[in-house]
Amino acid sequence: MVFNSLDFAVFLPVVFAIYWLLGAARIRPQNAFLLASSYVFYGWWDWRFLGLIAASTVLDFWVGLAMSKQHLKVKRRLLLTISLLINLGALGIFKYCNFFVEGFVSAFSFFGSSFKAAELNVVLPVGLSFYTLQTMGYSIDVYRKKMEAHKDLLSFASFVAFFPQLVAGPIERAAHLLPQFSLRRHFLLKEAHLGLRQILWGLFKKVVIADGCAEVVDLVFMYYLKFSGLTLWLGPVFFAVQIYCDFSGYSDIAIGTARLFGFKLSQNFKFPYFSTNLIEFWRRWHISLSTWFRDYIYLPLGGNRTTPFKMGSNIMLVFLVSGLWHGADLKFLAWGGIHGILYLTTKSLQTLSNRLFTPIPSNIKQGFSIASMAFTFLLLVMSWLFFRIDSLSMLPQYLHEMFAGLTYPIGYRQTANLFTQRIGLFLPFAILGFFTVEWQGRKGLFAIETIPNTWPKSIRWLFYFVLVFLVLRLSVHQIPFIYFSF
Amino acid sequence: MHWFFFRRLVCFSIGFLAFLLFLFLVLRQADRFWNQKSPNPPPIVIFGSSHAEVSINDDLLSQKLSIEAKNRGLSGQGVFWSTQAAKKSIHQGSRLILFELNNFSYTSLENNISPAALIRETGSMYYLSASDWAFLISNAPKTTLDYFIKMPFPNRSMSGKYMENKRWLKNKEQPARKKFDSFHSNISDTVLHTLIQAHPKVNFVVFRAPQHPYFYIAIGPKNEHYFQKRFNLFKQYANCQTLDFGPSFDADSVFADFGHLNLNGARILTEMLADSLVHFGLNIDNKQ
Repeated sequence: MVFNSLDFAVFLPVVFAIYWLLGAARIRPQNAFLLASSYVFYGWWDWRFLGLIAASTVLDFWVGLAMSKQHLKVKRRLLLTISLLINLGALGIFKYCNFFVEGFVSAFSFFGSSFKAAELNVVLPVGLSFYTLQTMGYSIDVYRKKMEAHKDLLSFASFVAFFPQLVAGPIERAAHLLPQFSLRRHFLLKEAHLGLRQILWGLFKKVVIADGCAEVVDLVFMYYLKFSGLTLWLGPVFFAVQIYCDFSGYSDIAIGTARLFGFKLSQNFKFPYFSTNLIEFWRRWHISLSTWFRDYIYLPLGGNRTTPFKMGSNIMLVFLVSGLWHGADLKFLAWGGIHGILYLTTKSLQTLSNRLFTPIPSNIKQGFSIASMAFTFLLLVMSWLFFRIDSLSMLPQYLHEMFAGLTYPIGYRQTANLFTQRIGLFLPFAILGFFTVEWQGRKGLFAIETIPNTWPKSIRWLFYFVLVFLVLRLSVHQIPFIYFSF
Repeated sequence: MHWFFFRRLVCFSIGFLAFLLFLFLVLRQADRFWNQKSPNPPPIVIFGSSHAEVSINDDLLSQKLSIEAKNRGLSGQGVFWSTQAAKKSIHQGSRLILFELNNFSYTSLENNISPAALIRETGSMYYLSASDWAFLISNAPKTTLDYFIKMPFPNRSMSGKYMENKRWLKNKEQPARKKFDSFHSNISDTVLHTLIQAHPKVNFVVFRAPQHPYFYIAIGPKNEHYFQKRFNLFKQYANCQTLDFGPSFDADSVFADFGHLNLNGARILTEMLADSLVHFGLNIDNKQ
């Protein structure tokens, strides 16, 4: 089931009503109902993969319990290794099998011998990359004694399969979300209002902005050989907007939905395109994944407390793993690599820039901030090109036409035609309006968390009516969320 | 659960429905205003299904009559939606409406309420009457709600155009007898009757495009009898003429298949139609 579907529009109110009718004092029935609802939610896509979630749940629950009873470090480590091997094994089989088989075939062909591998065509279960990291994080935390092993299978299973964030995050830390399943949840009017508001904003981002941009992006990347210059710039620029609105829209709907049920999920996006450099961007983009990699890969490798060379290689490794996490494809690896290089370059230049900009008056500094934001966005647009392009082999020609084409007048005519015939005025104005609202609301957890509170009620409701109308009006096709494929 | 929250949700939903209705009425007025100011609307417009789409060459008709004609035939278009489009066309200022009816016009509701039909007919939304809405809601509530929510910005565009059918009848095997004997007493012909009655200053010509002789064998006599009964009902109006070209052609060379003319047939039929219109002496002066 996807958030932008009629099925979910029926599912959510029904589950919400039954959940609260069960009563706040009855935690176990509520948890059982949430678990059943989550399995229905997931099984709506493909019920066969429910077994995988159940297996992952039981394994990590058992490993956690077994580790808590063991005092010998060797045995605890053995148990953790079992958990990691099985979880990573599942990821390896479902996500990377085809990639490695193809890699083998290419390697054999390179050395002159022909090798024909059977095509496996393994289907990637939706959400596997997300809930696997969540359960692995739990096992590692128990191993490190950062948290106690959970003793209740029901609430643990509800935590793993919690439907708002099951399919595409935020990847929650067990220490943050799991205890909430053992506490009484109270219906709070303010939280419910905020939840609905966040869901609405998430749907607006997804249906109006992201899906609108998707049409332009698909067109440019599909027929890139026919375009040149400015039009080819539109592809990655619109994709930058699309992927942000698509993914952060999903997170907003997930967080808002969880709020309706009395749960608090972590913030996943903190207005990343208002970052003044790449380091800041990575503190604001897909926060739950970045912090997961920081805590479970980067810090165990030594973190900042090591030699500059080791630190640099650790950062590179984290970015490459992050790239590979997005998908079994060289383009994602390249995307991760580029971000690693840019991150390290920014880090080394940061000390210098801090020294340079400290004595500058604040109004000039503000001007520099806006310029830095624009420059960071430009770097991100270039990196998104690697992410979106169908294959790395397309890249040289795309880049050549993108830059060289800026000198051809035909490229500008193509762009003008594209705007007059395909894009129209609505989408550019909607994007402009969207970023204005985001800028105004950048101090909140999501853009419209606080802004409408200062407006008269009639204006506020009119604003919501317009948002709901636009979401309904433009949801012609159910375009799946981009991160479902990761 | 907090009942106050539930009450607010209900209030919000009612408010939103009122907002939708208000928006619809505003856009409807704007669309009507915009279309009334339409510059140089085509005086003659042809509506109908694929039979109209491939049968009338509007350029040739314009040339023959020295008045602009536009073919708005659309594949799969039923009478209901053709009538809504005709309403828009009349509103723009067209004064002669040619309406194609065929033997399938009364046998299926699908063309009226299928999602595909509704998606391509958003341009006619502002011309639906209350009874038309009631018909759509009673037959397909969800699809109609989807359709309503897709309310378009005011526009003068209309779907449909003449399609040159370059195919030639090849397979002359007699088609199997098909059952087209179940007739829906739908409102399709009622809306057309209402339209004709509501616009006494507009001339209507209800016609049937030619079909291959084998076609009539395939559909059976019951269907043909029923068609004739309905078709003849249009003869009662002073501003409506009927033209039955149905069994006029029998040469294979003018057909693309048993149901549709090819470009050769379209040329002949257009010339015949032009002659008939001149013979009727219809008032098609757009300046009235």
